[in-house]
Amino acid sequence: MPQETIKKWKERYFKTKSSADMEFPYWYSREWFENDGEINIVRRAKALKRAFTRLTPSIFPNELIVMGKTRNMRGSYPMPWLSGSYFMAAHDQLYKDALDCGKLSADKLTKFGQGGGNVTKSGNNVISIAGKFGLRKEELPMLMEMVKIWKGKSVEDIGHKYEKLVPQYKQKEAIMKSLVCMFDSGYTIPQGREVMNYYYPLQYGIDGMIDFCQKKINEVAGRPDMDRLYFYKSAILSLEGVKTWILNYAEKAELLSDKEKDSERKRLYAETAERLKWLSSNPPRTFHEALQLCWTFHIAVLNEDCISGMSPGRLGQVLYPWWKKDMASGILNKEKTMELLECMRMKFTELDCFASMGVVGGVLSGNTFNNLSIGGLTKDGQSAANELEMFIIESGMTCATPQPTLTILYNEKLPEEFLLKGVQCVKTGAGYPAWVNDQTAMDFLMRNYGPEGMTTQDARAWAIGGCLETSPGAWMPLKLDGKTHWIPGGSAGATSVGVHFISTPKILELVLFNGMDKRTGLEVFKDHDYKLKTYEEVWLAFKDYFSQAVDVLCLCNNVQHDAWRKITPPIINSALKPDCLEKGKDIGQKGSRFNATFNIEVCGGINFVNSLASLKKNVFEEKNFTLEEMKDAMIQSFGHESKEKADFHSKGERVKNAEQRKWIKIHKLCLDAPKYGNDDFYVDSIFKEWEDWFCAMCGNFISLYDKPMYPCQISVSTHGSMGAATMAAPDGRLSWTTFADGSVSAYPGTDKNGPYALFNSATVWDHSASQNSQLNMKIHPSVVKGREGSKKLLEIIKAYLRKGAFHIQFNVVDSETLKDAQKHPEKYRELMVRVAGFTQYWVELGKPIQDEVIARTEYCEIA
Amino acid sequence: MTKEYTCRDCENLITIDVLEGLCVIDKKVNSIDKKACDKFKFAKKCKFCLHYSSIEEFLGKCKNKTLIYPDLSAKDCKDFKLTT
Repeated sequence: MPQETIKKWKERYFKTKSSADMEFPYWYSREWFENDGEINIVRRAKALKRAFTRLTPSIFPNELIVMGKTRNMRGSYPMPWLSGSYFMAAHDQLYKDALDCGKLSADKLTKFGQGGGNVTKSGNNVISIAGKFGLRKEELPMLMEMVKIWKGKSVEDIGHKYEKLVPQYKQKEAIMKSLVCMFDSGYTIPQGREVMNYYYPLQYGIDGMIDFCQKKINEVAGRPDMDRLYFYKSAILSLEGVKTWILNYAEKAELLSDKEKDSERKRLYAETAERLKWLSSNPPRTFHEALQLCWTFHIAVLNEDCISGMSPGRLGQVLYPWWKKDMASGILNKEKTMELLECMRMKFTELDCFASMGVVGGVLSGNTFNNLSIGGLTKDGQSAANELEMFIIESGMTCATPQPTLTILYNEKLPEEFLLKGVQCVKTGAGYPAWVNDQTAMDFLMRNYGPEGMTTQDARAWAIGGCLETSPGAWMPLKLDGKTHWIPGGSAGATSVGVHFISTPKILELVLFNGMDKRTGLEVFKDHDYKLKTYEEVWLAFKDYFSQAVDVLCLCNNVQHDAWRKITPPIINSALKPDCLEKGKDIGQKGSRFNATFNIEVCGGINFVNSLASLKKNVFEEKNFTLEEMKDAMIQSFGHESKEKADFHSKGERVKNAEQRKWIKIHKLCLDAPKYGNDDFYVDSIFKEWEDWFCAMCGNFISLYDKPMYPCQISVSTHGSMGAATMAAPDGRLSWTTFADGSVSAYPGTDKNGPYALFNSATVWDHSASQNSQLNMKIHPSVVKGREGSKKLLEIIKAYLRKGAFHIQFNVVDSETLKDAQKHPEKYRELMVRVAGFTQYWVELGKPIQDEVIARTEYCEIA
Repeated sequence: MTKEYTCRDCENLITIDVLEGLCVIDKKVNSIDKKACDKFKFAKKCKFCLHYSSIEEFLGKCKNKTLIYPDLSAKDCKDFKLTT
């Protein structure tokens, strides 16, 4: 159980709604438009400074770590300078324009959870935006004014104007409308999927950082490469904004202390005020101060852009020097440590990201992906696990919340006690920690960032950014009390921007129908001219269409990200990331140490592979039916009514229509075809061929930063939305239903030979060739009961990762509980499940994802 | 207290979300649309300022020049003058 104060905080959180407000956007926009003609990055810094300065501070009772993105507990706000299309009322011409170019296709096919903190309907003076965020009706007219003011000037609009100059642009529109691709990243979530670096504020404090920039200005003013001058000036302005923001909270804490009658609370408010005043200028002296400063900079970065997946990284190792010192001096004890860590969990859980419905609902499921990594290796290659990380795991059990999720960077050098603690946490059903392979990640990093000078030591500083994005790090020399501690932190910008989710089953569907999307009636690709008389021709046509899609999406997203870095350059995040301050360049100008950070993401790979196996066997080898018959069966969804009639979005009971008997035989043959996840060479060899080809082809495409791109294989929640746009498939999956989750998870119910067979199938390819792979397993709680159960669970984790696999995570839950939770959500406000790289409250998930989690294979034995 | 004011216009309120807030006087979580009590104290908002003029519902101008909205916090505004 959490501490009593945290318990009350959590109860309050459960009643709190996701709330948007206009304070930050108003002041940002006002300052921006008052500075027409200013150097762009300085203009942005002035806008940021004014917005931070004018944010209303709220401090809630029991908070030992204070400050939030906005005055609301689950606060966030729109950023019309990034994007405005999804705010538009349905009658607005701007909205229609956005629909016409396919920008809102994902929004239309997205379903939010109907419970928890989601504001799904307007009412009580509150407007529901995108079925998720509540905005006071009194602030709506200003939102619409802001959207109009930014029209034609936002990243979305400028990017759109120039992406149209890409010769194949029309094809991109069709790709987006048909949901071959999930979303553009340049104006939706341009930053994130990366790891924070807290080193500079921790080492130098805000005043020290400002002094550093001022000295640099003296060095570079009037010298060639003048952009450095503007960057340093911008960094100073932004840091001054953050400083005032902190002081405003200090003032609020003083005010609350003055008004407070209870002596204990009065003392806490006064201490908070003193702590904040100190941190507004100076580096931290204690663990408590260091944790507060990390949190402050974390949300400062989140406030400067629309960001998901800004991970704290290896926070337990960053803060360890202060913790060790305070424990030794008696300032801190175990109880106080736990209370602070539980406070931290609540603060991270309060975070919301205001992006479009398609992104927040269809991709993120309302999650913000603040992933805290533990374990891994030190700079000199020893186990990096420490006692503070044991407390971090413990707090994840006593205060089970979705954020921050935990990931163990598994290495053979980690102590057994530490690993068993992780297993103990998994068994609680929290869905975390996830387990990732330290060595496989480092192999990927060296392959990808070696050309930029990454060494083996550098590679050891890595952590997960976002849900599962392998992100490069750097070792920073923290000096504390005369000692140097090498602490890890992020050393790159967003590691998952570029081509965001190509649906492989959808591309296969388009291959079979010669480029025509039956759902929308659009021609997405030109006729491929293959007769599809052989399996090899299907493959060739697929490779052709897939490559065309990647090509145009890569080019258009490069344009969008160029608009982003020119209009809204990242300033605060850049001031934190090595080596931006040293170079005088922001992340968008390749100021980071590592810049090969664009990727190509795919979704639905297992359904695609299973479909190829079925086509190969049924159509081309055994000739059980013709390709035309297959296509007819797909159009008819093997004789099943649409998912709306069944209201079940994954594999499960469906309403059969009058024609169903006609398709029974073909459907059975499709379902009986070899399926991935059973250690079956027939289908696994197809899987290997796909992975080998995909991982290699990504390098043929060049990012905005002039680096080869790399593969990323996670589903997040896209398997729900993208499945909803894809007709029935040769693997027997019915129309418009959810794909398999992750990238190496089996399709629900098709892995029948036990976990070790699944592991063999999953590892037929080299996982270090990709930024990640993702395997989710659902295990019945009875299987891992007791000490023996813990050992069994750790054994299978080790067995999988020792095969070179990258990632595994678990839902330890009974499917019957989930079914009951779907029927009676009011009884399950606290229930959390692991989706794909993140844990989320059940009631805040959309039904398609709930259905998919229910349908997943439930392992009742793992031996 | 005058009936047109609600807790959301009170300086003693700490906003929790779009529906509720915490009163720092009685320590209770209330609907922010609840009728204000006798401890009501005006929050510094543009709509309570002498320089505010309405141009349409929920939109106004400061000194007939700058576009603002009535509920915007004027806490840090040096020109704020309470009218009510």
